[in-house]
Amino acid sequence: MKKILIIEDEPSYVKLLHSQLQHGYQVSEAADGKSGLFLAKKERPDLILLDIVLPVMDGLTVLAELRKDPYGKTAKVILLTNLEATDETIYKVTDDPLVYYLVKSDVKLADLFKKIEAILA
Amino acid sequence: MPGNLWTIVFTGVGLSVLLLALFRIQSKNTEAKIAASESRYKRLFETAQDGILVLDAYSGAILDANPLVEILLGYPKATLIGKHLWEIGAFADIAASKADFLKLQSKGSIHYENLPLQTKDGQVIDIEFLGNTYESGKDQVIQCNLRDIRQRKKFEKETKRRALELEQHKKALLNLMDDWSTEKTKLEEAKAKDEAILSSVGDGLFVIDMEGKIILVNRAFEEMLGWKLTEVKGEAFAKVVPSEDSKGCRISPDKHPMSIVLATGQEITSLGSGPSYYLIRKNKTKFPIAYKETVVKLGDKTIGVVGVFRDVTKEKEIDKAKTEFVSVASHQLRTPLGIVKWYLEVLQEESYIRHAPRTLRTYLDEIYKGNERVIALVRDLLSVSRIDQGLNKANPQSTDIIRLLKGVMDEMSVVSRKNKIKLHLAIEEPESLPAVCVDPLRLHEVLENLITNAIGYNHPGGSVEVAISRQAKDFLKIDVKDTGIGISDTDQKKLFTKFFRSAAGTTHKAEGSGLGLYVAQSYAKDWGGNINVQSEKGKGSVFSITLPIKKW
Repeated sequence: MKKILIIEDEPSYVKLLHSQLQHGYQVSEAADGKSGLFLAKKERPDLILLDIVLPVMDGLTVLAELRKDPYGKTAKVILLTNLEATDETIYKVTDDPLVYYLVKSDVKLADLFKKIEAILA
Repeated sequence: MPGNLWTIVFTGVGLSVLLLALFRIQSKNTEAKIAASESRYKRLFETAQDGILVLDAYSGAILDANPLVEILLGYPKATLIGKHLWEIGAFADIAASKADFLKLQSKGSIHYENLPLQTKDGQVIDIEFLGNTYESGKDQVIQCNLRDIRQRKKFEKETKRRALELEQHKKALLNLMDDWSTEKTKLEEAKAKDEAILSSVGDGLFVIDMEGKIILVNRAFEEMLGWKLTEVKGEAFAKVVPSEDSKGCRISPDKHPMSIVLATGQEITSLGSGPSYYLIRKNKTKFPIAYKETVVKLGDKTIGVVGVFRDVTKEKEIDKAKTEFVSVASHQLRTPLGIVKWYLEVLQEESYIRHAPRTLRTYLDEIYKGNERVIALVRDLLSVSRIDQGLNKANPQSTDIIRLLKGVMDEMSVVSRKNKIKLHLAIEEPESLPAVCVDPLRLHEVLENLITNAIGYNHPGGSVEVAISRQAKDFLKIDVKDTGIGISDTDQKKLFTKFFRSAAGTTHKAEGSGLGLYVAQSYAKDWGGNINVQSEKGKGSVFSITLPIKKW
């Protein structure tokens, strides 16, 4: 069973994603960036759903740190955020072929799951 | 005694002879003297610079005339001798001449400073006439001196003219000095006024010449940059006040707005086409400016550039705060909206809801739609805020326009079917359509927006045609054509402004924030294209997007 790590501080999102994804995947979760990074390195999930606005360490830093790690270099990530992609750094990140960028309020849950399926296929 | 007598006689004779001899000698001496005098006189008479006539004092007849008289009057001496003055043509006024002669006789002298006389050939010449009576032996004669004063008169006239001219020049000069003094006063007043204005304006001001050297700066410039006019006058602006772009790179003098102004003659402002830049102070600190730079002309000739600038540090800070606020606020708004959205989606898919009464499902649908509208509004607000700050140069890349169009059409087909609108895509010569350089996500948004409008403002049974074609050499054109209600001329003018919503929208129950077209046009312009509209009320509208073809 493929492993998905959810790094998200908003309990409502975590609860929903967890309950919806647990039927097909092995799901683990972290509520801040630092523990998320730790868990990622430890569990080596097949996909990380990464929020950007996070306590302790923000999502973009998590991603940068992850890319320094032997496992993290090839980790697949969906930046799942409500932050508009105005910042140049987000675009720099989205140039990474292993990183996908989705705005939570703009994407349908069903479309998100299709995307996850496609990435993990 | 006779001896004595003889002696006396002889003595007497001797004396007589002696005396006679002496007398003779004496007389001979006198004669010689007279001859010499006469010769001198004659010579004087003949070579005199005056014409001289000698008249008999009693009769007035001419006794003699010197050669100059002949030359002056043109009459030979022979024709003059024995004549009276009034008998010569020269003294034409006979009565006056006679009267003058009588006056001369009685008074002994007469003098005319200027007596016009006629020469034999009819020419009138100016003569100074001087007549004097004197005794010549026992006879009274009159000597008349005729002095040719034509040269003198000419000279006098010339002198007079010169004097007059000089006088006029003097007057003109005085007038000029007067005017000059008035102008000077005026100029000084104007200068004082200008200086007062220049020093009191809060904006920095500089004037440079054609070589980029500083001619003038005002007090605000001095205060803002820390340089005194006396320190920078004549120095190259680029050297004294270096400029940096927003990334902190030095702007080379030839790329500087003032060079562009000089090269093109066009005014440049930071609000218009000009790049935003920072000025570096004497103490090496820098500040962002808003500016306007334009050429200084003297007549038709460009003589330099004048620039006015303002320190916009505060505005930049406010702008940054605003961006952060909008970004944070929209993030905060989106989080609960996203939660509502996803939970509703899960809920709508639950089997007990799918089998619940129709009313309940409709209510959930309405809640979902309302939530979607708020999400769209937040997205539009973000776009507007980004455009207003010039941050909409999102992520332009080479884009396969046909694939993108087909994707949008697929998504829109659900809505069009629901509204009973036929949706059709027309592609003209697909192989001739090269890639364009746009941000695919934003173009998707723009097309979705235009097609949504075309469906929303349409009649049931109507149609929407999306057509793509090549426009000239360098552009692609996408037309979104509907058979809807059309747009009035007045509305067409306001269509692309922020928050504009047609009154027709309310009757047609079309939903929107009034930002879609504003955002769409801003994007298109940013890519180097445009959006415009052609519409006829009651017949429908065509929205056309032009996009530049990127040369790879």
